[in-house]
Amino acid sequence: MSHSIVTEVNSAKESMRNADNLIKKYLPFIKSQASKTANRSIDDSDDELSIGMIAFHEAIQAYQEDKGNFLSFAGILIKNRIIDYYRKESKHFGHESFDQPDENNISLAEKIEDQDDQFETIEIQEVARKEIMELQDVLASFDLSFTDIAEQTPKQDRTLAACGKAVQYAIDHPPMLEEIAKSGKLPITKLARESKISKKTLERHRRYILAVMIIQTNGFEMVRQHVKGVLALGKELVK
Amino acid sequence: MKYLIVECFKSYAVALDQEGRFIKVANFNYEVGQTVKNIVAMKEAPNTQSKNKVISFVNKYYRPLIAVAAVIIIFFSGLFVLDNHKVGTVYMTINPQIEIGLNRKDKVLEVGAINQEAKILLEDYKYKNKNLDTVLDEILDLAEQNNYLDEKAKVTLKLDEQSLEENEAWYTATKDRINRYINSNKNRYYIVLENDPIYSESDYNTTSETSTKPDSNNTYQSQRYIVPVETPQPEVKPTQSKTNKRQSPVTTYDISDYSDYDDSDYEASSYDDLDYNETDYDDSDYHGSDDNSDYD
Repeated sequence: MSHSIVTEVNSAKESMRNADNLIKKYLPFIKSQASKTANRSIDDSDDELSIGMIAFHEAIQAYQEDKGNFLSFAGILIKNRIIDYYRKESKHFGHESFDQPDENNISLAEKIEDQDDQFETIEIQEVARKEIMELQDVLASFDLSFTDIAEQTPKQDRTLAACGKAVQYAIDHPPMLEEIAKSGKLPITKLARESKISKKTLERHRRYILAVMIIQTNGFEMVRQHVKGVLALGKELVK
Repeated sequence: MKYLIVECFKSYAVALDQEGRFIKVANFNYEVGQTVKNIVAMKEAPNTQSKNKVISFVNKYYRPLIAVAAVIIIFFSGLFVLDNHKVGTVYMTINPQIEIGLNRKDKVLEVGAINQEAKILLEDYKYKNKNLDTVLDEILDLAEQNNYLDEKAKVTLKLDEQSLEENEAWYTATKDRINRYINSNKNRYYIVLENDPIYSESDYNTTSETSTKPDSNNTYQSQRYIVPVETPQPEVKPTQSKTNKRQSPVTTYDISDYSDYDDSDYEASSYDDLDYNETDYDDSDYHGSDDNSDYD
């Protein structure tokens, strides 16, 4: 039993899809851990379960076979993450929990949703959803998924700016962009030489750079709004 | 900060923030296309993961090795420091005056020129990683090549006395070493170790003369050597000179003393009786001849 879960965890480390499947399998365990921490029963719509699941992901990533049992490790992480979450929420809102009902029996979460949940936002959301689906198909043709991209997203501002600079360079040089579109690959050596960004950076964030190029050049208006910042950072770096 | 949800799974979602970062977040029943304000990002460290693996591996299997390596490095760096620590100095006087700095193993750490000739002599000389014997050999060769050292010239070595107080073991060992060197080279050079009383006694005057006049030219100097010293043989062959010189004051004195006394005694044969009666005369005469240098 314990051996089989170690193999499962190891395969889950390799891909988020496997991890997702493993979490589905261990959902009852996560629920029970979350319930213990929250001191109440947890169902599928509770934030605690979402936190528990993301903590389980972290446990999969951080688990080391020689350090002990996986489930006890995951249990500790789930508990800690939920406590962290409570603390953060109480700081922001002055409440113990997002879902705690007030005198009128309406929870804080519902109130906030009410403010945003306008007719207009639903429409925008629908447009965005369509655009994202379209983008997902284009990315798939380059053998990219959002999860892959997230894994290669730079965390440091400086690296992000360097990636922005690389994207900007390709946009400014259409022949290179055509080459990328044709081959579906980032010409790392050439790009490194010409844009003067280290090869290591380009390699490490290859998928992210490629994705931002695709978003920038194929007219994905809504997503592009979010990616604009990267290019601005890149331009600053050029100066 | 606003986040656009771009991908949703049961256990997590992918959100795009306004700076263009794609982030894995906890999925609070999000839908694709939704814009949200507060997210719980997944803490991930895929790179540190592999690093940790390496570190734990290193910790597990190589920790003792690393410890041993560290000890060895510290030990050797300690030795290195010791080896580069100057323990004492040998002063060498041919005509060029040279000081040779030594570590505890008699490795040469520095060779310094005290006068102008030495500076010229040592201009291209390399002493690194050589021991005292080699450096002495090479400097003597150099001096010979540059006509500072003909067969009659004397070389004076002197160990600094300060090291005797600081490191007596080293001082005696190095002194022995120099004496051994002098002995092994006695057929080639006439070398004197000034610290050693056995060899330095009678030679001291001549050496000080040469060393105080470093600028006089060589031929003149070697002639000067011959002139003031009454017995020329010791200068030519160093071994003989040392033995002879040590014995000479005793032997010559004895012969002259007895012969002189005898002669005079025999000449005044008529005084014999009177003379022998007064025993006092005999004693004083003997004493007087002992003390007086006139007999020489």
